[in-house]
Parts: sequence; C-alpha cells; structure tokens
Amino acid sequence: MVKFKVNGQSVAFDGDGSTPLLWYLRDNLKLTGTKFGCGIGSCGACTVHLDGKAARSCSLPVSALAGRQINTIESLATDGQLSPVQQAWIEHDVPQCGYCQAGQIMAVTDFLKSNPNPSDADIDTKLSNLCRCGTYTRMRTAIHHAAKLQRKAGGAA
Amino acid sequence: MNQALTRREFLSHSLAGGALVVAAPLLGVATGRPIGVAHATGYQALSLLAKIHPDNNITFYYPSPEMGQGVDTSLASLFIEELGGDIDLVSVEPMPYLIERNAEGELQAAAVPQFAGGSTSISRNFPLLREAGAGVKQLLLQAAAEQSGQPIKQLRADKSYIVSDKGDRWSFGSLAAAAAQQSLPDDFKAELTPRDKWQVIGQHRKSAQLEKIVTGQPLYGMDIDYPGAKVALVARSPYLDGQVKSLDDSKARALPGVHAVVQLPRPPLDKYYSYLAAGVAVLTDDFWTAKKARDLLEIEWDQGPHSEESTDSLDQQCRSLLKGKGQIVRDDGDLGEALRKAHKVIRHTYQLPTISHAQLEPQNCIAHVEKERCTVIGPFQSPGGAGRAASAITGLDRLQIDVRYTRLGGGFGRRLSSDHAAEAVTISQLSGMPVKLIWTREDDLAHDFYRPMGHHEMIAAVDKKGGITGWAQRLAGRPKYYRRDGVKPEELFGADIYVDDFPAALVKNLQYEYMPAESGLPQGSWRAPAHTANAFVVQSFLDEIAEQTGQDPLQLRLDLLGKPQQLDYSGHGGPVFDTGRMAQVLKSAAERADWGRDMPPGHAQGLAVHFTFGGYCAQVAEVERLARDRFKVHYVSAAIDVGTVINPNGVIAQVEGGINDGLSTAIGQQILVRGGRVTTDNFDTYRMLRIADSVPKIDVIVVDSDAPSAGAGEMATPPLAPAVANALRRAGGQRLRAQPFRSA
Ligand code: FES
Ligand code: FES
Repeated sequence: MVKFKVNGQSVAFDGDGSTPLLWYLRDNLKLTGTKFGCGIGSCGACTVHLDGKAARSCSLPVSALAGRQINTIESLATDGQLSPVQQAWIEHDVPQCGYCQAGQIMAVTDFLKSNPNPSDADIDTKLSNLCRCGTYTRMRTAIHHAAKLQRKAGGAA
Repeated sequence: MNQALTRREFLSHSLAGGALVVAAPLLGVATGRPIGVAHATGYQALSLLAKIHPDNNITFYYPSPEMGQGVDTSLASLFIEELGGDIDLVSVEPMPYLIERNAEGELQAAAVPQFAGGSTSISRNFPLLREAGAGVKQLLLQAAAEQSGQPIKQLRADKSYIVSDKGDRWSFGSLAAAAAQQSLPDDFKAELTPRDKWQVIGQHRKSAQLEKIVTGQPLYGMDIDYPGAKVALVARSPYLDGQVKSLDDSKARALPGVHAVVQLPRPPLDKYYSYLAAGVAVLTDDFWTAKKARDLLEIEWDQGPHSEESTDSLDQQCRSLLKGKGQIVRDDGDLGEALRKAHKVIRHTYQLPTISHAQLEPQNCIAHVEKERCTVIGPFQSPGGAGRAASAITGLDRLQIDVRYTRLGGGFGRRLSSDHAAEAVTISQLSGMPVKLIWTREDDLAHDFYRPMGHHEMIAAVDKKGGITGWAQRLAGRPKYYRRDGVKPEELFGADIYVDDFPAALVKNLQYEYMPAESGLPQGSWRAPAHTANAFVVQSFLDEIAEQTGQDPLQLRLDLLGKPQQLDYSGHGGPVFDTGRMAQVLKSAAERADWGRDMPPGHAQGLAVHFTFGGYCAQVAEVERLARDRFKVHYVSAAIDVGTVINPNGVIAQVEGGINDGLSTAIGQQILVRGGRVTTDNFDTYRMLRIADSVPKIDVIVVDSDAPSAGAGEMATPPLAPAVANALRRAGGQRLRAQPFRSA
C-alpha cells in the first residue's frame, strides 16, 4: 500500500507498484488532463509536479511516491482563478491541437520558480517538452509574459 | 448547389428547452445534391448546427473535426457574421455526426462537410454557413416584426439583438421561441453581408476552446470513458506485412485483469488497408495491465514478403531507377533540344526520407459492436470514413453505426485514414466486448501511412543570360497511391507529382517523369503531402541555378514568374495558379526581411515560395551557420495569400506552426527500416524539434485578398526547408540536398 497526495487529497494505492503515475492518474483517478505522448520520458506531455517540481509521470512508478505530493494541471487554477502561466497562454493563444499544452504549462510553471526572469537561452536549455504543432514561437512569448505577470503579482504581495 | 440551397428547405429549425435549434441541411452522399429535410419531425435526427438559448447565449456546432487548425473558431465566425450575432456569446461543440436515408434509400449527410483534410474545411463551408446564418437571422427578424407589429424593413440584427428604427431592442434569446414558429418565405434568398460591412469575418479571434485546453479538460479521444470498455493494446507484426506464425498467450491470460486475447488476421495484401497490420490484442482493465500482458505474449512472426527491406535498399532502388527511364507525366516543348542547345546544363539529385505523422496524441479509438448497432468514438479527420470502416467489418447498415468524433491531438493527415476505427471495431467484434484501443508511441511510429520517400533528379538548361530554357524533374520514389483501390499503374504518380506545379507552363521545354519504387511501407497523406518534397527540390534547385549563373535568387524567381497571369491548375487547389499572387508573396516576404541586407559573417538569408492547395506562401529565413552540420534559424518572414481570411490570428498561428513543423522535419525526422521493420519507434530515435531549435521570431504578412478562401493549415510547411537550405548555402555552408539535414 502506497499513500501519497494528489491535488491535496490523500490517496492510497495497493496495486502493482510498477504502475507509472501517469496511468494511475488517468485510469484510476480519471484525471485525464495529464497526457500520454511517448511513455519514455521524452516528450513531457505527462508533466506533473512532484513536491512542486516538474516531473514526467510516465516514468515515475507509483511505488516511489510514498508521502509525496503530486499536483496535476487540474489543480493549477485556484478558486477558478487561472494561474499566470495559464493566463499568458490564453493571452497569446498558444495552443493549436492543445494535446501537449497541459504538460507545457506544468513544465513552465516550475521553470519560472527558479527562473523568474528567464532569458531566451534559459528557455532553450531548460525546457524540452515536445509540441508537434510547433507552437514554440508563441510559447516563448507567453513564457516571458507569464514571468512578467508573476513578478507583478509577487511585487504586489 | 448554392442556389438550390437558398430555398426554404435549406434550414430546418425547432424549439427545444426554450432554445431555437437550427439543423444543418443534408446532401445526398452519392450525388452531392441538396435534398432538403427528409424528416418533418424530430430535428434531433438532423445534424445540429446551432442553438440560440433563452439567456441569449449561442452554441455553435462546428461541422469539421478540430485538430488544431482552428475551424471551431473560424467556422463559427462565418455563421455568426450573417446571423448578426455577438461572437463573444458563442460557445462551440462538435456537430454530431449523422447520416440518414431518404425515401428512395439514398444516404444523406450534412451539407456542411464533416471532414477535415486538404485545407478544405473553410472553402467548402464558406457559402453554406453564411447562408445558414442569414436564414436564421431572417426567422428572428420575422418573429420580431410579428410581435411588435413593426415592418420588417425597419428591423435589423446587431450583436445578438434585433433592433428597430424606433429604438426597440429584443435579444435573440427572447425571440427564440417565436422564431421557431416562423418559416422562411418560399422565395427567400439569403442576402449576404458585403465584405466592407463584415464585423466578425476578418477579425482576429482566439481559439474558441482555449480555456478548456489550458485547464486540462477531457477533450480528446484518449480522454473518453466508455461504460464497460476494456483497454486493448495490440502486439502488431513488427515486420511489414508479416503475420503470426505461432502464439502462446498462456502467461498473458494468467495475468489478473486480462479479459481476452484475440488475433487480428493480416489484412489482404492485394487490397487497400482496413487496419494496418496483423496482430494479437489483449483486452484488460487498464493501460498498465494491457502493457504488461502484451509484453507477456510469446509470438513467433512470419516475417512476410519485405523482410529484406531497409532504408538503404530503398535508396539503392531509387538510384538505379533514376538510371533508367520512367513514365513521362508531363512533356512540354522539346527538352532534348533545349538541353543540346543549352549554354549550360545544371543537374542535381535531392533526397527526401520517409517520415511519420507523429501527432502527439497516439492513435486510439473506442468501439462497441452489438447485435444491431455499433458505436465508434475517436479522433477522426473523416467520421464518414470511420462509419464506412465499421459498416464494412460488421456488415451493419451505415445507419446502425453511431460515429462520434472528438477533438484530435493533432491530425496532419494521419487520421484521414480510419484504420484505428477498423482495428477497434474488429477487436470488439472478435471479443464481444466494448473496447478502448490505445496505441503506444512505439505502435504509432512503427505503423503509419508514411509520407513517401523519394529521389529527385533535377535538370535545367540555361541560356547565356541565365534564362531557364529547359527543366526536368525525375522522381523515383514510393507512390502515396500504393495499394490504393482502383488506382491503375499509370496513375500511381498522381499524388507525388502534380503535373501543373510550378514551373510548369513557365519553362517552355519541360518534363516531369516518374518511377515508382517497391516497398512494404504503407503510404499516406502528411500535411501538404507531396508539396513538402517538391517545394524542397524545386526551390533548392532554383537557388543552385541562381548561384551558378550569378543571379539574385529573388530576381530569378520573379523573372521566371513573369507578368501576372492565370495558368491552368488541374490539381487540388485549382482551377488556376496565379503567377501574380506568387510574385506578390515573394515580394512581401522579401521586403519584410529587407532582402539582401548586410548580414554578419556566417549569417545569411535564403528564400523559397510555393503554391499549395490554393494558397501561396513565401518565406525568407535568416540562418546562422554553426560548427559541422549545426545551424540556427534566427528569424523567418513569411507572406501568405490564402484568399479571403476569416481569422487572421488563426492564419498566423498556422503559418508559425507550419514553419516550426517544416524545420522539425528538415532537421531531424526520418523513419528508418532494417530487416523489414521500422527501427525508429520513439522520440529518442525519431527526433523532433524542441523549443531550443525552434524559430524564435516569425513575422507573418497576411496578404489581403478577395479570392476565395483556401484554408491555411498546410501552406506554410513546404517553403521552410528550401528557404533554410538556401540560406545555409549563402552563409558559406554546404548545399544540403538530402533531408534530414542533421546526420545524428
Ligand atoms: S508521456 Fe511522459 S514524457 Fe512523454
Ligand atoms: S499544440 Fe499540438 S502538440 Fe502542442
């Protein structure tokens, strides 16, 4: 039995510990915002936050999660208030098919914590999620915009 | 057809839950003839187009599947423009897919095509949705006139209100019930809003479903839950056209949570594919159990007829084909004479690899075959194709097949084929269970209808002044039409060489020649199909001519295009190819990039232009040469003319995405085959662009035009690779004649 938290709720799993978190989220909890793209930790469509850090859930066995906190895209907006990254994504109309975008948003949210004022080079070296539709150009603009939103919010607080 | 559709039966409408419900008209599936409303009752039975709710909100049901090309947004604009509605009050849902049979037994489908491919959604819906909007506005006007006693001439629609000259205002929602009682006059003819009065069409709109996407709502086939459905994974033959020789499934069956194991026979080799490969399906409670069960299957494969095939053998084959003679599919003037008389003959060979669609959402499909019915739910570019596939397998009538399509996590042509539907339906039928079929990424890359590979030999005869007097394109490659039903051998070239493509009719002596290669790889449509290959070879070769004759690449193209004229174009995107429009996008892209400006050492500009499916796109890429085969694209200016633009923001997004997609394929993508099996089966070996290599800055010039709307999903991909290759060469690099540009 492995106990951990998903979006603030306690969960317990007593199935096969090798089950990747991705499939536990999708099949057991029906949290389908976290996407399956490659299953080998390459595309980032399955990105969640593990104790606040971006992690690729397709490559995280549930057995490794005892006592950890998981957050998924479904928990990013609080009280109906979209996060700065989500707002920037809407402002710049980033998504096309949209399938990669939950993972992108989760990855960027974590990235901005350690890079509150990122350069293009920071973006290039630290973000590697795949977008088949090629929305990278808007994504880059939106990342800078989200950083600005966050700095503003931080400054006000 | 349009005229017929302006008759009153074009629209049917009713009242449900206080909302005015509008249904789309139907068309004969076989004849394409409008046939009015077969059922006077029960509008449920017709394809839903829109609902105007009492609270004045509007739901618009977009008819073409949405895969990121933005039709959920642009198609709504067409309807709302003529309705006089407020676009900000609109939410969108996919239009339910429905077909019917009329009294004569003819199948009918919605006249608004429920199909997404070839950038046709906009052009085919453009008149229909506007006329529908105008019809509904008429009903609302009539209702307001009757209620108020004011003459209809003194009423008009304004942002979801009917407004009278006297200053009265009634919301559409408050008129919904009354409008449902109205009918259009027999002689009703929609008067469409003239272009200079458009308020919605031509405005920047963001995607209609943005908020759902950024909050992770279940929109995709992969996210759908179907009661009782067992998760199915298939162990497909890794060998092209291989089949199961022996199977031991005892270990898999012993795993808790495994409900069934069924064998999928190899699809017949002499017919077009239903599904792609022979295999063994496991049906289980969830994905992870299915994955483990599939790994426990012990299968010995019969390696089939292509076990010797490899990427190298296919390349060898093309090389030797090019040494011989092929089918001349276009022959203008006297090429031989032009070559003999030429001041200079220039000749180079280019190579395009096999590539995969790699849409980010792997293939998936829900199917439930029951005695008298069958349900199929999934990401379909062609819901009709999914219905046909299910009907063919089950023997059920098309009307007994309930097809539902979801948003697609990318299409790019992959889901024009309905093999995922065929496979899921087969598994459900064999097992007797409802199934949710999921493909892994490995499945998806190793089993695809690939973009064909090819070797193109290009030959030009040039006169003393650098004028091009002769031109030949000789293509040895894998035909996209491979195994397609009803395609004769002499028609195989048709999806790989478009006979009227540039520079046909502009060079007097010109030949296009085709040599089909043999391979077991299934072939299909990949975003702008053969244009991705042909733009690369033609536009690269033009730059080689420019270089060898000392001409400016822009001027050489403009000279070749000559004075504006409309040439016949028989392929998709015709009936004309307008040299003036092509010249215009070239000039616009060049001007924005300040073509010819001084660049730092190691940096250069390169340009390319192409005509794809009725749209013209030119690009100037600015590239910096780095060590070895590395480079960085810093900037692209793109000019696009796709006729009348509905949503400029959507067009710009498609161009930006198309450019990054073009770069992604040019740099790294290649499907490799060894021993008759695909070996590049995940993103570790099948390399796709990440943000670090993407183009950080793109300027898009949307050329305003009155020409018919051409859609925008495919036009920006073809010019990118040659623009980059041309820039690299001008930066002092090697001429890149083979994709992918990066060896590792
Ligand atoms: S699905 Fe996890 S990284 Fe691709
Ligand atoms: S928006 Fe389609 S994969 Fe990124």
